[in-house]
Amino acid sequence: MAEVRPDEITAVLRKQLSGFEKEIDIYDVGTVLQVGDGIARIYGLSKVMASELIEFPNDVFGMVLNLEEDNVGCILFGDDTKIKEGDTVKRTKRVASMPVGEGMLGRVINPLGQPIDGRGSIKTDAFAPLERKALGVIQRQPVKQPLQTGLKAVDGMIPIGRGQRELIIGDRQTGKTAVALDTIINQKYTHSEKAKKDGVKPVYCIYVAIGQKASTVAQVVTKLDEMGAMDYTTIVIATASDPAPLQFIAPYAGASLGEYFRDSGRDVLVVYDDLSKHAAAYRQVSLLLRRPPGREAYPGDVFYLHSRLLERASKLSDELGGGSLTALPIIETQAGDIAAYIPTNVISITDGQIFLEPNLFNSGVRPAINVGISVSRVGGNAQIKAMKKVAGRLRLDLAQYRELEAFAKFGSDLDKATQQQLTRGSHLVEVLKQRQYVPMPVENQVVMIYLGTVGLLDELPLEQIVRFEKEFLEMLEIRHKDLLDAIAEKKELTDEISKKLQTVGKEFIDTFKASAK
Amino acid sequence: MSNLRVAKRYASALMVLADESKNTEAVAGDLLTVQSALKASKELRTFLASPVVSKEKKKGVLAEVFRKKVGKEVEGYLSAIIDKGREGLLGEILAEYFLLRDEELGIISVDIRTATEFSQSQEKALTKQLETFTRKKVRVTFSLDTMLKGGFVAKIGDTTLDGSIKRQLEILRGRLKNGSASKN
Repeated sequence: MAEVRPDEITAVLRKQLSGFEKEIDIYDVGTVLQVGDGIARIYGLSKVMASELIEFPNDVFGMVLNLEEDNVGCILFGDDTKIKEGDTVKRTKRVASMPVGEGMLGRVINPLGQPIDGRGSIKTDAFAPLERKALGVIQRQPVKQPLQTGLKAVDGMIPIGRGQRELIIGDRQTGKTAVALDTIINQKYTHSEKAKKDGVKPVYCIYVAIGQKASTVAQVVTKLDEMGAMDYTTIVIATASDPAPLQFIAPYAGASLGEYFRDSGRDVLVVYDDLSKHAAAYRQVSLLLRRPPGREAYPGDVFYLHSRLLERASKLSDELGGGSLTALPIIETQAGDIAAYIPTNVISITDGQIFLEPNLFNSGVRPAINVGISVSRVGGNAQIKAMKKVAGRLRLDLAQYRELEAFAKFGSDLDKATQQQLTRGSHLVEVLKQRQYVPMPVENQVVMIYLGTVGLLDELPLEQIVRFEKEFLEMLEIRHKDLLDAIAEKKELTDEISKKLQTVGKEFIDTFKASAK
Repeated sequence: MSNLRVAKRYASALMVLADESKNTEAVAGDLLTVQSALKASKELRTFLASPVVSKEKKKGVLAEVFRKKVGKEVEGYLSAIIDKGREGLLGEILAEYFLLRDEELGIISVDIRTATEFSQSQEKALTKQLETFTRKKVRVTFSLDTMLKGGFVAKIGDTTLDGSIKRQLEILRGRLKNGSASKN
C-alpha cells in the first residue's frame, strides 16, 4: 500500500484554504413563525421575491409562494420536523431552479434534480428556473412532424405531432400509463441509423411521476431499462410519500429539463403522470397557505396551474433551432366522468385527447381507446402522407360501424351491405388491437391498416387476425423488405406500392387460409 | 400575527395624531414615559390585558397614573383605545409607533452582537462605519455573544452583516465538504 505522508495532506489542505479570506458575509434573514404540514410562515425576509428559494437550517430548502403584509408563506422541499419555530431563514437570492444537462439522460431524479438511483452525482453545467414563461407567438411554428407512438389506433386516427399537447384520459386501470410508456419505448427507433437515413430526428423522453406509488414507479423504471429506453430518457419522481410541495413542482422540473433539450434544437417528449394528483397536491399546499378554496376546494388558480405548464409545450421556429417539446399529460377520471373540474380544464388546454374506457378494456380491445370522442386537433398536419391516405378511410369505416352496431343489437334481419359493413368494422377493430410494449413501426402500421380498409381481411375469422398480422409482417420483412422501406423512405403510398401490396396480401391470405384449415 | 397588523394600524393613527398636535416631540416624550412605565410594571401590563377589569376602572387607573405626566393628546388616545378594547395591545402599538417614528426621522436601529466586549472607541468607529454604509443615522445596541468566537454580527432590519468567526467557519466547512470555492 502506498504511503501518504502527513505533509502532503497538509499541502492539499493548505491549497484548499488558500483562497479563503476573512470577509463580511451579508445576507437577509427572517424568523420562522409557524411550521408544519410541509409549509412554513416566516417573519422578516422583507425583500424576498415570489418563488425565491430560501434556506432553512439542516439543509432544508423552501420556496416562497405567499407574500403577505406581515409574513411570508413558503413551501418546504424537505423534512419539516427538522425546523423549529424561531429558526433563522436565509435568502438565496435566486428563484427555485434545477440543474440541467446531458448527464440527466438515463437517470432517475427527484424534482430538485438530485439523483435517486444510487448511481452517484450528476455532472451538470447549468441551472434552469422551474417556472419559466412559455414562448410567444413569434418563436413558434405550427406542428408539422409526426411523433410516432407505435400504436396503430393512435398513429392512425389520433396522430400526435412534435410540439403538441395530447391528453391521455381515462379511469384507473384502463392503460393510460401503458400508452405513454409504449410511446417512450417506440422512440428508440428514432435514435437508430435507419431513422437518421429516413430523416427522422431523435426524440428524448422525460417521464414525470407525480404522487404515484413508489412500487409502480419502480416497475416503470425497470421496464424502460429492460427495453433499452433509458439511454434517452430521464425519470423525474415525486412519489405519494414525498411532501406535497415536491409533488407540486415535479411537472415544472420535467418541463424545465425538457426545455433545455428543446432549446438545443432537439425534440423532446414529456409525460406528466398524472395531473389529477398534481392538482390535489397543489390543493393541499394552497389550503395550508390559507388561500381561499373554490370549486371542489381547488384554489382559484388551478386552471392557470395547468395552463402555464402545458403552454410550455412548443415547436420552435427554424431560427431558434426547430426543437420541440411534446407534452403527454395524463388525467385519471372517476367513473368515466370527464365533465369533472380538472378533466374539463385540462381538456380545454390541450390540443386533443385520447380517451380510454374500462368497458373496451375489459372486452379485450386494448389499447382501450374510444375513437368516437378521442381527437387530435393539430396532429393531422403531422401525419405522413401514407398514413393519412389509409387512415381517412379507417375513420369513416369505424364511424359507420359504430352507428350500425347499435342497430345490429336488435337482432333484426340485415341486408347484405349492412352486414358487410359490420364485418369490416369488427375486423378493423381487431386490426387496431395491440399488445403492450410492442410498438409497431409506422410502415407496418400503414400496411396493416391498408389491408383492413380495402377489405382483404374480411374473409378471415376474427380470432385469426392477430396471428395473421404477425405472420404477414414477418413474411414482408423477409421477402418484400423493399415495400416497407419504400413507405418509410418516401412516406407515401403510391399506386404502385398499393397495387403490389394488394397482390402480396391476396397471395398470403390464400396460403394462410389453407394452412389454417 | 393579526395583532401585529392591528398594532400597525393604531400606531399609524397615533403618528397622524402627533403630527396634527403640532407638538410631535412632546407627544413622543409622553409616549416614551408610558412605554417605560409599561415596561417597568408587570402589574400594569396584566391589569390592562385582563378582560375581567371594566373599562371605567382601567380609564380611572390610567388617568391617575399618568396625571400631570402626559399631555392631553396622549391621555385622550389612551382612553380611546380602552373604548375600542385594544388596551391589551398598548405595548405593541407603542413599539410600532417608535418604529414608524424612526423611519420618518431616517434613523435605523442596529443590533450588534460581539464576541468580546467592545471599547468605547471601537463602538464609535463601528457606528461611524455603519452610518456610511447605510447612509442614515444609526442607533446601535451592543450585546455580548461569546458563541460567535470572534468578530461581530450587525443586524440592520432583515439584513445581517456577518463578520463573525463562527460564520467564517461555517462557510469553510461548506467549502471543504463540497470541494468547491462557491459560497452556500
